[in-house]
Amino acid sequence: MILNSAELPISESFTKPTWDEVRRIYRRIGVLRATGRNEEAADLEHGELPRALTAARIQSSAPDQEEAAVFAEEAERLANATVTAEILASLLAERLRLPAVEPRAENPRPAATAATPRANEFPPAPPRPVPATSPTITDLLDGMLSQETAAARTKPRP
Amino acid sequence: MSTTSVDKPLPAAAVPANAPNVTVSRPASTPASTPTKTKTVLVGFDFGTNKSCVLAGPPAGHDISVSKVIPTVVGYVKDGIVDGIVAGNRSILFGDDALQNMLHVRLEQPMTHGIISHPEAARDFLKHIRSLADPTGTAEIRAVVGVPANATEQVREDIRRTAFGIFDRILLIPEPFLAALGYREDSRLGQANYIDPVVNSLFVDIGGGTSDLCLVQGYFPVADDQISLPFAGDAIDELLQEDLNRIYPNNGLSRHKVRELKETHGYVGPSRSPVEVKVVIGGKAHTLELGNALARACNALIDRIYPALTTLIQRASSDSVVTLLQNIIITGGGSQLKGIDTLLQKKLVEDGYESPKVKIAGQDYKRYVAIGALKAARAARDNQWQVLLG
Repeated sequence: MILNSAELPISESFTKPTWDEVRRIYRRIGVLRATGRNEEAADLEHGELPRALTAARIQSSAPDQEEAAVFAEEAERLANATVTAEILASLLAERLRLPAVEPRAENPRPAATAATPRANEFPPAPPRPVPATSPTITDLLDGMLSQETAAARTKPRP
Repeated sequence: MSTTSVDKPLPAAAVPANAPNVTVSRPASTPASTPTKTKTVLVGFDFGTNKSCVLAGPPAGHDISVSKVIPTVVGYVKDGIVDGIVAGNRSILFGDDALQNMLHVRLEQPMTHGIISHPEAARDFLKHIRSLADPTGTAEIRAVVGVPANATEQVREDIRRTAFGIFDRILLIPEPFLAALGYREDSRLGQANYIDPVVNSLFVDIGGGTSDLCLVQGYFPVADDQISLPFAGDAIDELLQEDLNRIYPNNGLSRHKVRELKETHGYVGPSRSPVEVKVVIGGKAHTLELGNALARACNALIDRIYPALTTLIQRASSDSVVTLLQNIIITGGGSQLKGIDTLLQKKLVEDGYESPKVKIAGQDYKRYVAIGALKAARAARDNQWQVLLG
């Protein structure tokens, strides 16, 4: 017997990606807001999110409950991620000897190099303390590998 | 991020069709040596744009079994060359051999501006380096390879891909940092009057393709501690040749000859004109006046390096900057430009920096990166090496 496709039962595997899409957009909005990109967040909130939400609700047997659950879960995830990021940033900064928040040291002669035409090509970065003793090469390599690991973790996944 | 970086992926057409996708793994503890590899040879390798330096030795002790500076060039023998013209009837020549036979070979430079531009030549060159380090071909080769300061992941991946199947394990480390390790006199560490360059110095490594500057302050430099400029010896040669072509049209001087003239007479600072040089063009001797052309070309390097130098000085903490100013070290081929240390120091003084001292690294300027690389290879733990997987 041939059924019309509209009569086919909607399986879990069909519904999940749609709510997953809602989750993805919701998280993206949270990240954009956390990084101060409010306009982009608003665009998503008033564009992609309602579209994805409508599609998900159509396929859901209990749309209100599912929507509430999805948003609550993602809000919690975002809150946890923010706290984790704060802790991780401090740990990484310590590991890399990069002060998380440290005022910049005064330049020896700021006016002198400000006059150099190309000086602005390389804006200043926060200074780091210099250790008192000679480090071993193995320790230095550990520092290099920590940097590489941190960079790999922060690299966006395709 | 505020630094200049080198980022030029390999052109797709230049990548060999059978090039593997190289992934890197770092072994947790146990080495991944294959049973057939009977011994381990460590290699410190400065893969320069024009000149490379390789040092090799056993893991333990301080012995160096191979120490060579080789022009980074590969010569593929042209078709139809009569037997016996090329020694050993070889089909590929490297370094000086390739240059001496330039009439009979197609010369390829594996590197441009410090990054791999000709993957096939680069692989052949690395195979040659391997054969120097391990003539038996049976050893596990662990190589520390210098890369330009702030080399991007793409640049690093190109090196890994090229080294796949040639070196067994690899570590890629910025060249100016390796130069600092190489320059460090280990026997003097702990002496009261010795300033360890690894603890507090600023290295300026002027090569053929890039000029790399690096704050070395006792920890592994982060991106903000390094600046790489795609302006170095080759760019000076280009400017000099353009100027000479303008002043002496149809002079017929090759880039190789222009480089030679720069290496012999190059200087920075006020014009030292006249600098008269006798060259043979079209079989006849001519005297060229190079003074002003040399000044223009070589001073262009200072125009680029100086802002980068002051930027890194300003990035040092106020606690460390006074000692740092005493320890500015210039290395690489560009350090041989006459007056470069004096001029940079003078500019710093004029700009009000506190008692700066700019030094030339010295006679071993071609080898410091490789010396540092071999030291790093000897110090690396098993789990710090990267294993190249196909």
